[in-house]
Amino acid sequence: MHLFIKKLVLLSLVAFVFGQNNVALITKVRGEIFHKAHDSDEYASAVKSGTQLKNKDWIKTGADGYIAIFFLDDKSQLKIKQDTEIQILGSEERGKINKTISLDYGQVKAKVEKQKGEFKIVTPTSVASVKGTEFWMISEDGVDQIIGIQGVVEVENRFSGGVVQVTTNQTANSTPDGGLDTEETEGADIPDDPDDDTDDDAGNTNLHQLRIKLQNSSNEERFIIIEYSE
Amino acid sequence: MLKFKHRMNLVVGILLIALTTGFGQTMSGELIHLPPKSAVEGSSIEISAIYTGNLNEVTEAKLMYRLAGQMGYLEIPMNIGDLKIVGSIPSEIVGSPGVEYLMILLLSDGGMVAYPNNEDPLNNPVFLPVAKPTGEKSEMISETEREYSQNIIILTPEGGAVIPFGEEILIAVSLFNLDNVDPNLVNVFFDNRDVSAYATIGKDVVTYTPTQLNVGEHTVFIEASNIYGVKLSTISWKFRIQSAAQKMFDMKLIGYLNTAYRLDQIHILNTDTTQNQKYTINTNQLRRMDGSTEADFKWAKVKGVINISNLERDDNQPQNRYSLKIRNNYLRYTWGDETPMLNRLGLWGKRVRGHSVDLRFKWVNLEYVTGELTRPLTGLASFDTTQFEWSRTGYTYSRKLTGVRPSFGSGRTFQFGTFYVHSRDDVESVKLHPQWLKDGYLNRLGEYGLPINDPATSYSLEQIVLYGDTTDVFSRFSGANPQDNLVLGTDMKLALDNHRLSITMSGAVSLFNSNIRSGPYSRAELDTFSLFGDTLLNDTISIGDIDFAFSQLDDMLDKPGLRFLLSSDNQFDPSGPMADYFILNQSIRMPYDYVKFGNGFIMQSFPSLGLQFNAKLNYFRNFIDIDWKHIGREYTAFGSPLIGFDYAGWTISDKVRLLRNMLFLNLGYENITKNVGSINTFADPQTLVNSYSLGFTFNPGTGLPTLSTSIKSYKRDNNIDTLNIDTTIVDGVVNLMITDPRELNQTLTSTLSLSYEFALASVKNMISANIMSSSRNDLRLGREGELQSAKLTGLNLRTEWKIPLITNVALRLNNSQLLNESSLDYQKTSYTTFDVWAGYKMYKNKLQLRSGYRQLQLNKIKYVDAILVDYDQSQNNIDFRVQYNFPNVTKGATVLKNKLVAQFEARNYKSKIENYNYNDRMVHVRYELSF
Repeated sequence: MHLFIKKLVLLSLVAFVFGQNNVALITKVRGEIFHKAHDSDEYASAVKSGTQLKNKDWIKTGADGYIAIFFLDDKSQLKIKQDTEIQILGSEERGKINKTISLDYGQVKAKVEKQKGEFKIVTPTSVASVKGTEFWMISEDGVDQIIGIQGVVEVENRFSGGVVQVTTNQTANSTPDGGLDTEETEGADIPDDPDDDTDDDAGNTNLHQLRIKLQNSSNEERFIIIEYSE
Repeated sequence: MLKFKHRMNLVVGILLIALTTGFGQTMSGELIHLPPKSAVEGSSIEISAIYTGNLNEVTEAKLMYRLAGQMGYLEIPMNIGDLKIVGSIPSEIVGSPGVEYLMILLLSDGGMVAYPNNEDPLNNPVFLPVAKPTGEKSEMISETEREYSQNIIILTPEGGAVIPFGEEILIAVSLFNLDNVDPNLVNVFFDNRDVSAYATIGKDVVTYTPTQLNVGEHTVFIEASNIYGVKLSTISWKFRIQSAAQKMFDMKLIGYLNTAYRLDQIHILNTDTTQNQKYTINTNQLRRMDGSTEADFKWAKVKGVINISNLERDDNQPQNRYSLKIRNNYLRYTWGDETPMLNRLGLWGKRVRGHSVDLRFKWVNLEYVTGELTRPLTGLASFDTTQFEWSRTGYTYSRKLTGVRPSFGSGRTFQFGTFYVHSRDDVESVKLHPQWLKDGYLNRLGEYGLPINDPATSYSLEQIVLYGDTTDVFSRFSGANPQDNLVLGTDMKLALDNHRLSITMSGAVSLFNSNIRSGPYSRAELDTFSLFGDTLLNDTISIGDIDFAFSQLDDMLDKPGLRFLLSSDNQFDPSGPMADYFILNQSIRMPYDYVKFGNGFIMQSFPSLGLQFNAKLNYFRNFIDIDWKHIGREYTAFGSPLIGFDYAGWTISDKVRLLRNMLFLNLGYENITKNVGSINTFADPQTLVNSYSLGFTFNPGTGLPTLSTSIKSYKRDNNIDTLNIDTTIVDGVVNLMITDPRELNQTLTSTLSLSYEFALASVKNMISANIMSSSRNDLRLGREGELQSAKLTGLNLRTEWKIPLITNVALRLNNSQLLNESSLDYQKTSYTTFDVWAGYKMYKNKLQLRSGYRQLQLNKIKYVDAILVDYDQSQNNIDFRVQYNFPNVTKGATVLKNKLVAQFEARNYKSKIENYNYNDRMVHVRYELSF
């Protein structure tokens, strides 16, 4: 058989497989979680850790649900809190996965390190484009709040086209009327991350941060961060 | 398209037969070859080898090659040179992940030599990895991503992770970045056991869920090969399962340990007039150790603190301190020394050695303190040989305290609480004759000159017989009386508008008994309580015109929550259960004065009442603090020694932030009335204290000077304008005694300070100047004049040089004056101080040296025996300080830092008038360790 034909058959097989490739893996599951495969019309419950997610799969969490997933190409992490519904869109391109999370409503936290492909979170109101960062995205009744933890997130309001960059300790508010602004993050507004140690054993711990900004004559900024609990 | 001729499967087949038969023959030489480390995609690869045998015997040399993973080989002839054999793998075949090759030499005698020199070189060829060419821009491929592109990615758990026992574990890796993975050739090892059959293996991801994991460390090893059987990558990592017990005691540890030694040789004024020397040397040594360790567990923080010194003695209050504290979100417990803060009116700022518990459940809280405020000290006993009386002085009773404060509300925005603080001296803790029960008693009497060895005498605690005369011996306490104190109160806190407005208020009543030695009254004794003016024994308490039957009191207390105050016969008896909470006898300070109440002096009629109100407002860049207090004349709180008594008034302050916090304006006002319990302001005058203050601090930022200034006026006025004139007639002579009860004076204080950082030729400098002026003037009519004045001026220059040297030069002038020259108490004092020190750092700041010199000149003018005398004194100090910072020592996750500090100071004192000249020396060594 000619090598050329061999290659053609192989390529076809590869193309077929890549069209339904795994893009992510569920590594932690808590509470009520539902999964709808890309080729299914209904949600299935009893989702377990180790479930592989493909392009166009849906995830929904119940009132007590929490799920953590990793993307396979660069270990980007997405944490999905309770009462949230998302669709995962991952297109593979030359050894990387361009990731788009369609967030209908709810709260998600993204942590992107050693980024390979694009990482975007899209809500009915906003598009948040990520490049090596950690942030929260909260979408409720069309109003989005993007809380920067580390790095830079570019947020675009889909109605006005306005774009802002959200950095550490900043919060962007994006509204369906086209409004888009940023403000300093209030510690109490940062959602609790169920994986944080401080929340596991301390019951009702409220850990707050007081950040004091210092600026020198060269306009270099530094922060004094005082953590306190009450 | 290939440029060279190639034979595929047929060549392979022929060579297979040839090699398998050829390897049985003896080889006269061997091929020596050093494979290239790597190759670049699209570039040809030169392969060379040296034949150790006779090159003339080599008839043909072939290089066989293939893309890694292919079945068949391609071949090209190799060039046989004088020294080596060379061939080249064409660029078209060089691609990822690599190429495989072997070399074959055909010999003239029919034999063959191959490289690699193994049993089956066709199936075990040389593998040469092929990389992408450098310089070619590959989208999104960075150095880090190159690392990722060749590797298996650990998804979960992370390497080194610590996972609680019982938690479900998923082991997962991503193979996404590996090309053409063959799932059948992916092997998973867990704790060195092959668990591939139990893992879920795909071409993108591998998952494995281990079961029944033991506590301890576990290892994962995964290797992946491609569809051609070529090993692509391996990965290995460890994680740990932690038991519940281990998790409980998993902690971070921080702390410090300081030890210090100080030797002072100080001259002190000699009070023994028989000695000629005015000053005698006194040597003091101080050794102390201070340590603290804090362990941060997940569920709580545990901290131990210890401070011990050689000043600790049995005949003094404790100088050592120790405590063990446990803290988490719900509980704060301290065993040992603590300074509880229940309420400013009840327990605030007093050290208690015992137990302190603070339970916080957000809406319900409980604070409880019990312990000792002072420990018992025996004091001294002295014998009066004329009265035959022992008296004990200098003693201290053991004083115990119990405090409770339940409260409702977290305290963040609202809290309501009540508090009970009881403190009582233990009467039995100081014995009248503690150390006289042994033989020491006779020896003590002997010290007073009594003939203790004379057989005609005898001695006991109660009597002394001297040569037939018997005399009773008395003993008494001549110092403080044992006391009892009870404070009951309530408090409330409210914070609104995100804490921009906060209000706190407290009210308390205190009961104080100045002498509980005789114990509590009985019911009958209370019936005729002299303080009430009640002389009738009629089972009724009479206070003025008010009669209150005991039966009424019994009925009032016979209710849930108060019944504990009744005796077993349901009657109120001060010597019954009531005595556990407060001793009621003739020595109590009455909390209610019915006479003053009847005369309309409402606040004065409750002398044991304490009230406090505070409001803080933070609006429009103003921070306003409003404080009002009323503390009655008899208010006593052993647990809050700083609260004072017998005063009332307002204190208001405002801090204004302007110019983006560069300018702070401080305003203050105080209006306090002292002796507020007085009802006769002439015989027992009240003093009104009024003060106003104004100041500002201006800090414009780096490179500009900082300025702060303030002015304060403080006035005392007892509102008495007339003199007292007492007339007495003695033997027909009229004597006038004139006294001046007036008090009216004003103190005016002003301060100014300026500091400025600047650089001269890259040398940083900081110059600061301070001026303070204060004068107190008597404003009484006819007595106007200056009472006291002081003025202080200081100048300081600190320089940081380009070398690690810091110098500081300071000059201070201090002048003060008391009264004026017409008064015999007149005194004028002037101090001039010149101070210079330098500090130098060496060996990357490990060694720090500092040396300083100070000169103090004192001139004093005062009256001695009605003659104005001028004194001059001088003092010269030198000091040296060495600090060495040892290199940090790392033990696991702990970093130990330690340093040694040694300091020496010598002071020389001189006075021409008083004719003395002496030197003091001080040595101080300290070692500090922190972790």
